[in-house]
Amino acid sequence: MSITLFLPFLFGVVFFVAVARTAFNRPRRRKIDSVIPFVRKLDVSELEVLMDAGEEWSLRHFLTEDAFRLAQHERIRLVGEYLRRVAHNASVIQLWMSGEYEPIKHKDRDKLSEKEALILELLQIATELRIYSMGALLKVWFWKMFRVDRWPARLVPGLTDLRVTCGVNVCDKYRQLTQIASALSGTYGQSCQEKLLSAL
Amino acid sequence: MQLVGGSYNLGHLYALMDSLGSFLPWLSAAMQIWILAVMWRRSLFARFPLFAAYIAFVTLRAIVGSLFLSHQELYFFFYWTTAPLEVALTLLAAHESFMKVFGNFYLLWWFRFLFPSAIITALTYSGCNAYIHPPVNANPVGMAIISAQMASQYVILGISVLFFSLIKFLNIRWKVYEYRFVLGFGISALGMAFAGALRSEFGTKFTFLNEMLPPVAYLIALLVWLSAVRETEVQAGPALDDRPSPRELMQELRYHLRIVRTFLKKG
Repeated sequence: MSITLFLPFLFGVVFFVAVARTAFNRPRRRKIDSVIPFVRKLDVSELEVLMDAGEEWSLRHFLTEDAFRLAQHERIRLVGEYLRRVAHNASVIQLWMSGEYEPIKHKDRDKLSEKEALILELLQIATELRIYSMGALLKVWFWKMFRVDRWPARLVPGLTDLRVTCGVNVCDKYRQLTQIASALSGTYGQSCQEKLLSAL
Repeated sequence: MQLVGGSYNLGHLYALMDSLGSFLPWLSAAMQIWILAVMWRRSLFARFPLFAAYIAFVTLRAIVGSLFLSHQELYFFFYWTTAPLEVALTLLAAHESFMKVFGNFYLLWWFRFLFPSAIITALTYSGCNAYIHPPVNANPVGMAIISAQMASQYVILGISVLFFSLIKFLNIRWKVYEYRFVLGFGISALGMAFAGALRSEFGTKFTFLNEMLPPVAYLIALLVWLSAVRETEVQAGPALDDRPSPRELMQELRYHLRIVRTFLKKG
């Protein structure tokens, strides 16, 4: 297939995917009650350990090459799963916050209440985390696609590099996200706050 | 016998093409008038002036053009003088919907400058390139218009893809008119781009597809636009006296930019 024919074909596929994703998966504004059942449990300290430079150094130096490759394959799969959860939770919270942001979007920034300022901050963090997870998941997808775990041991990429992508430190940002989300859910009542905290 | 049957089938196909070819423009014109009438009834002209101007222009062009059909030279002159205007209006109308949804980005001088200038550069380059290097025995002006028209289809497709991707990523509220207008332009541009590519790649091998793809895609676009203007939008937008002031818009923009800047600083 020549470039003349490939170009409209490529544009067509990208166009219909973009339209289908927008039309059939239309975002529905979420209230706090519909956020809690949809978020996925994620222990950020486990993700932190997975991306820890010391942990990876130990694996590289104390395991045999084959054992390291095997371990890294599992770790890549695991980090992919964690990142998907980060992306999912950030997306759910972004939708929740988009609804909350709508009535205050034209309000004077100096006259915002504490709750409204938190809404803005949480929306920003959720958007940042979505951008981060897109970049990081692309990397993980590439690693899986090219089976980097089968490459020579010193060429096998480290998970530590994923910790900061697009200028975002995922562990710090995710902690911020959960803290602010928890603080905001507190305005809906103690039980909401507890439920959201245990769900995130 | 086979030959006879084959030529009979081919004759049938040409007859079908002929009848479809003469039927589709009239159907399109009727639908365009219907769209204009619904827009008039729902007072949408003021809200989408460029889209209304585009529909009115293509309707008028089709009707006036049909009057000149028997005068070959006059039709030729009329077609080629109005073609650049149609390209410009198509782009402006697609751009109008983009601007309505992502309007606050236009408060930035560089965005205001960069976005249209990228479009103009792409069109000028393809037009000039075709004008300077036309194929043998081809009119350079005609080639420049065809080339710019083809480039404009890709520009519209690019705008549509960017529009839907940004909406999905930023979780922007569903806006029925703008979404369907851009969708229609995207479908029509895709039909034109495919037909152009087929013609360029295979010559006259797929004449039926080359000739039928653009009008059929345009007809689908018209159906999408008709469904948009007939729809009653819930919370279509703030009432006139409720519209945000430039200062409020600037604040919203600053907030969006803060997210982008965070990345630029850290990255």
